[in-house]
Amino acid sequence: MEFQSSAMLWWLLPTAGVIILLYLLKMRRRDVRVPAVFLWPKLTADVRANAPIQKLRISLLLILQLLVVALVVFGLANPLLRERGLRGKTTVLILDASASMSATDVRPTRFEEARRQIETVISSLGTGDRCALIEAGANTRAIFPLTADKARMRAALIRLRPTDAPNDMGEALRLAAALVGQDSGARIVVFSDGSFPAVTNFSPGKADLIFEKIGTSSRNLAVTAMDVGASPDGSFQLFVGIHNYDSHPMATTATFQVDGQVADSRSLTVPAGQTLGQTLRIPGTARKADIQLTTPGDILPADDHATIFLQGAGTVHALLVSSGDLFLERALALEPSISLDRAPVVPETELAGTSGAGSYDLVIFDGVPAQAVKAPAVWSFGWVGTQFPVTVSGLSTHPSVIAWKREDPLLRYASLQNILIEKATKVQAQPEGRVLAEGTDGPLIVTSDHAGRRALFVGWSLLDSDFPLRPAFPIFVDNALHWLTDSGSSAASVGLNVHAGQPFNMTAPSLGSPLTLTMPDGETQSLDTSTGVATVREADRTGLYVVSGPGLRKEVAVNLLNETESDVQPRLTLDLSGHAVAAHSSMLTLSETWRPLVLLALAILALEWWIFVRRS
Amino acid sequence: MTILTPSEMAQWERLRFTPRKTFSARTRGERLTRQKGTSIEFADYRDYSDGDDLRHLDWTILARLGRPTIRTYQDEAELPVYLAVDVSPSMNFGDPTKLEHAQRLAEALGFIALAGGDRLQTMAIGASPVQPARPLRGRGSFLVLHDWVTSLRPNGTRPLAQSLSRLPALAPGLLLLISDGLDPEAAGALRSISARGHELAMVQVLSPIEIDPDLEGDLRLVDSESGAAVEITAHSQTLQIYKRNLEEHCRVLAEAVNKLGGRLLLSPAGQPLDDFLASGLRRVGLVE
Repeated sequence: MEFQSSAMLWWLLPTAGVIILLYLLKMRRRDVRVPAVFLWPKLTADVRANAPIQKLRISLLLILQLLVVALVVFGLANPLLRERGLRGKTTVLILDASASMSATDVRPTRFEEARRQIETVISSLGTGDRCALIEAGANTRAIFPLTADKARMRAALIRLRPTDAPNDMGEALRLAAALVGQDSGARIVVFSDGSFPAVTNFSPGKADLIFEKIGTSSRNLAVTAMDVGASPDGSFQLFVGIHNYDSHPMATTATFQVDGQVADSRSLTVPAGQTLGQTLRIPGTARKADIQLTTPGDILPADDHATIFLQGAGTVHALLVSSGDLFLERALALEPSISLDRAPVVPETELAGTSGAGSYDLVIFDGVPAQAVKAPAVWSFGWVGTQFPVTVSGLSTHPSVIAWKREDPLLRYASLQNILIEKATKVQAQPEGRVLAEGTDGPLIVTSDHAGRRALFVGWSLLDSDFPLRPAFPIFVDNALHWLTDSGSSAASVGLNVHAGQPFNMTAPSLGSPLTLTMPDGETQSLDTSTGVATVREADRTGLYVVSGPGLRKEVAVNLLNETESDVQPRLTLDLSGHAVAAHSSMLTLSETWRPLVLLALAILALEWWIFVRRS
Repeated sequence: MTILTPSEMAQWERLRFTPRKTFSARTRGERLTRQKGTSIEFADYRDYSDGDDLRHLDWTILARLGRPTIRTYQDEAELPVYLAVDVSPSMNFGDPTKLEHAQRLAEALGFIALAGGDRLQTMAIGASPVQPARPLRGRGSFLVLHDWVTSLRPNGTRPLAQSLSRLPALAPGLLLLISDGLDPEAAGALRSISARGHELAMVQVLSPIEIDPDLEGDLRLVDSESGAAVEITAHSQTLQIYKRNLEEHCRVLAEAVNKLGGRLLLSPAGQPLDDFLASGLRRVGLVE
């Protein structure tokens, strides 16, 4: 126990002294003449003192009064007790809601333990203390802003659910720093197991940073990789990587299913810290493959299962040749069926005329000169190559889009109206070329589908226009990818494979047609198709999602397949922009206890008064 | 103006004290004594001796037996009654005061004695010294009795026990003591009365607020006689102990009186004389 105002304790001496002095005063009693005093017992109880000094006699009232004074003086000294919880004017709590927080080494789960600790923090907040909560899950979001409303905090906290997705703790920390980084004395508290990538570009500012470690065990065996490749004989080769994150070997039973039928079951022992690769040959007619690990003592179920659709999944390998374009990379990443590689120049082995088959289904030239490649599909922004159905005739400045084919699959739902283009390559379409957008100085978007090769030419560099900032841009990219690779959106396609937390697009059969998303737990959700493409951002639980609507049924396999999240070993320190933040074993704070002391003093005072009245 | 009303006097004049003892007195009266005398009450026979009054010779026995036999008769004398009233300051308590009630009882008891032909001597207990008044006889002395009763004041200076132990030597008789008996030494002092040959009849007068006091709070009780003080906090527990002490004191007093062959009557101040007669005097057989 500590005292905030220990000097107040000196008041105990004079106040107690005054009380004792009052007790030294003799009582002035009323004189009553009686016939005989020998019959009366000498029974006195001093409850008042108003006359000269007498010998001090200890009485219950004196003890109670001294006790009251002691309690009041102690209360004035403001004793502080160390207890769990947080105190401070401003606190931002960050709750890690990623997949690793569903580990069950802390009962019931790490997430629930974190929620309980946050509840403790909320309960310990004093009057005027403000608190905010940020959820670092599949999406980073502020659950409640800085507020002192505890009821609101609790109501928001109880609605939180864990996810099976990785998180972006850096974004959550930066958001927290934006809230309280300028407040000295503010705190940012991270409730996490530390299973997230090292955070960069973060500074807590003037706020203190506290890492509340959740979790005790690393016993987890996970499916960390799953892919499929086509064999020359037309069958598939399934590859699965199983990693043991524990410090001891772990035995498991891996059950493989193909189209819902058990295809194989293997008893495996994975050495500590090692990855065990497993392959399985699958008929070429198969549609879906699953693996389920049954591991005694495994604490994280989310990574024990994985599903992969064998067609249209992982079959489109794209190469982005670019000097760096964040807009395009983001838009391409939205398409889950694309396996995207990036390179500043085309690798030698992918150039046309070299020996061997190409590794990519699509090569995208973004702001770099287009070269002839082996890939069956090419896409260029602003640069013309031999594989594109256009011939350069000059340079156009500030061209305007005057017409485009709205019904073409490439431009469906993607409006090119009022796009500002600084400069564009002035071209003429070759005979096999098909002009999709016409500008003031000639064709701006031209495609060709000739001799098994598809080419898409966009006449301007993305960074020379505001097109990447338009809502039509991701739709255009999605349409272009589907057209170039002939994958994805048709009703006949099998399904998508995405990682948990990764958004994916679903093209509606027609504009505004209703689409329903059925989640792994059976819950359903209507999707907005007003733009013709529905974007699902809530696939944060592993399992099978189904998007259904008129003429459309598409399954989406959502897998964790994330080594960072599967590595459930609780971290003792966090690496935050090069600064190590040690974990707290418990949040010990100093809490004020003067209120119960004053209440106790009042209760004793009432008791003293009751005894006094009873004796009077 | 007397304390007794005419109707009370008419009722009480027929009463007579009935002492358990017989007392001899020099003056003839209406009370038979153990001594042989000249009353008409036959006592016994005895042989004739020279000088006997021949008027008491039983001629019938002489004729039948030839032996002279004298008839003897009981002597009659007056009963000495001493009326002692405690005038110590403790009697000046209550409403009416215990002394006022004692005065009323004293007049009634004195009237019984005068009406019965007894020799009545009054004395104020507590006065220093205790000096018996001159004897009163007959109803004609009632006004003297009345004057003495009304002249009593609570100005005694001696405690009850001290006054009783210093009573002057008096011919044995019926001693009527009216007092509150609130002296821790009172029981011992009563023995000195018996030792002097008196028959004691004590009327203990207590005030109702003395029997059930209504005190509360922090008090300093001052003894009305000695001036000694006791500090108390009057509450239910204190009052309970006081009542227990009072009962014990009265019990000791009654036991002492009984052992001496006397009688003790309790009369709360303000008690009507009729009640005192019925539930007091008649019950203990002090009058008939």
